[in-house]
Amino acid sequence: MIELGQILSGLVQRTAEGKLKWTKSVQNGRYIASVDVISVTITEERPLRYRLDILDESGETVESLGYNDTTEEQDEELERLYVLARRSAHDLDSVLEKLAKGLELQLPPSR
Amino acid sequence: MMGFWSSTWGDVATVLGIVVALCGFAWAIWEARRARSASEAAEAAASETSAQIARHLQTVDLQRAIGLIQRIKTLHDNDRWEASGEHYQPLRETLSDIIARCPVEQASVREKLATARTNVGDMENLVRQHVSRHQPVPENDRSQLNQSLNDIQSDLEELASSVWFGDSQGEMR
Repeated sequence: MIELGQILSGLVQRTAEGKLKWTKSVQNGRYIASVDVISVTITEERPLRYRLDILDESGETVESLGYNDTTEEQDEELERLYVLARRSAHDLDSVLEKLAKGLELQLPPSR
Repeated sequence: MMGFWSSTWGDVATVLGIVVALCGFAWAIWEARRARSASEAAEAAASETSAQIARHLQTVDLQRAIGLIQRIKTLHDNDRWEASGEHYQPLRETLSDIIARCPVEQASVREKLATARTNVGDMENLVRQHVSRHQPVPENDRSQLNQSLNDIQSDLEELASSVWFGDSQGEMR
């Protein structure tokens, strides 16, 4: 059986690799991504308290991973996912690249 | 003569039998081919009809979703927030129907629609929160709602325009 923790790690990895695109929700502090027709959301409920929700094919929330259900390691992963999701939704890499170019900073060759 | 027939009629009958059997076999092959091509033609026609119906239903649902978004935007503009809240659930359901008809191989379209549906659910919650608190909707939320609705509407219009033209992004099952 697949554990929610594994899904969380997979989401962090795919987002860090730039293979999962997140969108800003109309609700502040919440971001949405979809893998085929399954959606996931990451929400900052309170400062440094995050919740991951999984929505099924019909758009209903079927599973959640919140602050009370997590290990310390998972809390860190939730926070990392939130930071990465926000970065993806706001296309922060592109913004920073433009800014660096404007400031005539020397970018690493890989970029 | 009679002697000849009496000694060879068996061979002639065998040869005739083989000829008749070969003719029968050839006829059976021809019939089978005809039946197969007829059945394939019927299958192709049925599949095309079903694809046409699916495209029609998809177009109807896309137009319905676009109409619902227009209606919601008008209600927002007129500060009729409670009334607008009634249209979010039908919009989500219509998006679910559109997703269900979108072929599996069009992953990016399905993902975009699924994300839009989730965001519509969040919009519904946001509007309900403001309605239940009897507070005016702040300008920031109002513009976020309209921007998100405009984005979804533009994606749906693009999809609707491609459904009937066999575009790989819009072709529906």
